[in-house]
Amino acid sequence: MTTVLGRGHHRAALSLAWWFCFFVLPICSAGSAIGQAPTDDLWAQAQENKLAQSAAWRALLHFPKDSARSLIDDPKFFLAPNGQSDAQAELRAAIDAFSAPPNTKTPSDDAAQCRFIARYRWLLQNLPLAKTRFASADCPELQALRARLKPDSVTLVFPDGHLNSPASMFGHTLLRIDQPNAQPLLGYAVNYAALTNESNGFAFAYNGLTGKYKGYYSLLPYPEKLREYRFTEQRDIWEYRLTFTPQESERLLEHSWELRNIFSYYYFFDKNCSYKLLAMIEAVRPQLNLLSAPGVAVIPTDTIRALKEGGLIAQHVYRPSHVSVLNRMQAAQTSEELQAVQNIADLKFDKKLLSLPPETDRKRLVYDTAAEYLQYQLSHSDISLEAFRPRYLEVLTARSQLGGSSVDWKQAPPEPTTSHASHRLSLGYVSQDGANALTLRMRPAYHGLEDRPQGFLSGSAISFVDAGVRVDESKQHVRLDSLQLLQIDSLAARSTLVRPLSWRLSLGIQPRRPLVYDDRYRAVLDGGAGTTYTLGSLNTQQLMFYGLAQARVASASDKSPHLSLGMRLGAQWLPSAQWGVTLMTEAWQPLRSKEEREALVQLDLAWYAATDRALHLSIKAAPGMAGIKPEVGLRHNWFY
Amino acid sequence: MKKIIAIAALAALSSGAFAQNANIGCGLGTQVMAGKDSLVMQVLGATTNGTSGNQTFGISTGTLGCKKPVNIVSAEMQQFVAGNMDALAQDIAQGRGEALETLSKLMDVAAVDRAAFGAKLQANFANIYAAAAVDSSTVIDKIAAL
Repeated sequence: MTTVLGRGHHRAALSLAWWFCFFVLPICSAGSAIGQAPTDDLWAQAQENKLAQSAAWRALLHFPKDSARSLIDDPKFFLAPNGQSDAQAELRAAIDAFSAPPNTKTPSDDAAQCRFIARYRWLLQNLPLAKTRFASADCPELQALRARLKPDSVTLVFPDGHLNSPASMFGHTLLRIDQPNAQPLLGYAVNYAALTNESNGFAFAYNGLTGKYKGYYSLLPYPEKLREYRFTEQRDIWEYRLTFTPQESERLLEHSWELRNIFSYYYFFDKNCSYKLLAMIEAVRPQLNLLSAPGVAVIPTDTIRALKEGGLIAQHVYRPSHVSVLNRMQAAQTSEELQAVQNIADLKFDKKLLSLPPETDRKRLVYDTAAEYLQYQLSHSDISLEAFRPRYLEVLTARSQLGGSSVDWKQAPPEPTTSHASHRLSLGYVSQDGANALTLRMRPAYHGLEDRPQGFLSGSAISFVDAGVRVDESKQHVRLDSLQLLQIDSLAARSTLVRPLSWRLSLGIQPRRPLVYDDRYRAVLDGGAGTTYTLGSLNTQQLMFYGLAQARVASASDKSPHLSLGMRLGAQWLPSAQWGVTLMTEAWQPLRSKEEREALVQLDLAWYAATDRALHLSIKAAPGMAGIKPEVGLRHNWFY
Repeated sequence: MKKIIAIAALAALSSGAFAQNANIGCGLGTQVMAGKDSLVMQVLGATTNGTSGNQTFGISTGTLGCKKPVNIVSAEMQQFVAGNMDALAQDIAQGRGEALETLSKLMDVAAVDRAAFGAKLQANFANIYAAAAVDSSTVIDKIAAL
């Protein structure tokens, strides 16, 4: 579907380009044509040096290796009418345009030498004749931008998963341009995003998946992006400093400038933020060849892994969200202290009510927690701005009288790329009532609750297209085990101050009766909401348990769909980094009388032998269901 | 995979207003955009990214409407203080932190003097942030007067 629609867009883009060619370009180039010297010799030199075929030129135009078409859909990005599909024609047009002096009387950033500054500069360096023959131009706006940003290094920014939205685990990526020895807060973010004000969820999904939105690159102060991710969405942020030299950092700024107000159609799953940022990085380091590597560009953690392997990442920095800091502070406090935090945040400064701890360092912690708590409440709309301001000020004023502290609440958890890889292959052997079968499962993305949790947001899981077959040992019969199209778990732990809802959702095809493999199937959509608690530190999360009220629609081929209500209770124990025990129990009461009541218990014991390998022993049973025997299985999972 | 998301969205049958990139104010608490999205939009927005409807490309955004401080300071400093009001107030109250460190760099405070600078600001917190309606120009002027 993508391809068909994609072509449609390209056709639309082409017809626009024609319009541009016939009506717009002649007007622009009329002035410059008069004083223009013939450029045949420059062109001959460019051909001799094979510039049009070079990786660097193609990367500047966002042509992936071996692709005949640029990733940029906007005809304004090209000087030649057919530049989008012809890197050679674009080179010829660029040589002509750069050789002509700017036709404006006052310096203007509209001159080709400014608008396509990265191409201009690259040709100056790689086409010997260009040095004497290209016209120069002043670019006032670009100069101002360069002076303000003082590009010296570049950092890849990855906002991690969102507390109550496992789907956000796929994350987002953006780039930050930093000044020499500068603070990140003075940096500027280069972000690629779809432009839309759509408010209807369904229309948004459909349009986004089929490339109906235009994506634009934007440049804005980094604190504004921090606000979006750290405050509004409460996502932890990982910053990876790239090994770009100051010169390469300047190239990145100039290339961003070329992409100002230039659109491409945005496809959520392939031509997304991650992919388009790789195109930017490749324009600066053309030898990387990341765009054509399959699968690398879609999921941000895979992108970061690829950049790491390519030697592009120098170091990383962790920037926790307010909720992460709040959770750590909470874990270090007594319930009386947390009560004091709440009282302070509510401005109940009455001495009797307050009962502050006597030690100064404990008092500090109470006030620091209250300040984080107020910001969290504001970001969640739990309090209004009018309520926030005086409280925040009161809390900080009291805090300012208590001196300094050296406790660090920003210690980093395991870094996201230390997690298992995204694709999973699973080979197993199951035994049920004396009959044995081999099982084979595949899942292209991303993470299940029973998988090794390191590097993921705890309690969050999302799986796309988890499909399995089983081969009966005796009958040599191959059949579908199950096909889970989508499964999301968001088991977000509740604490005194942070009380998120836990929920789950799944959609797929499974045997009509649980654990009965007789080639009869049903389609099932189910979901639930409830509460999760943890024991032990919230960050290591040693023991977690949850309860959800659930609803389900199931449909088999020979029956009309029916609705059931149920409960799910589960627990997870992670005694060490190598071991995990996951228990899930659920019961369903059908709302139609002739349907069967169901119950299911699953226990999974996992040994995480290595980052990308795990051995699972699982027991499944359907207690109380007539004729269903428990199943025991052993399987090996590979992640790649 | 593309169809799945569409089905998931359909299944939840919900829509909601998408958070607009509200203008950043100059006072405390105005840098936070409240998330009012529906669950579906949250899930989809976070999955698919970049839907804020913002194609800004510029040196300064959002803080242009802030009052200018009396003291002459760089545009960069004005923008920094206006854009980081909550974090800076918190750092000054604690006498440490990234926003405070950035401020001392912007004010050319030598590395050896930074701890003392932080302590001085902390001691004067109540003076710098005298009222809940304090804005970025007042903060700059009060700090400059210290």
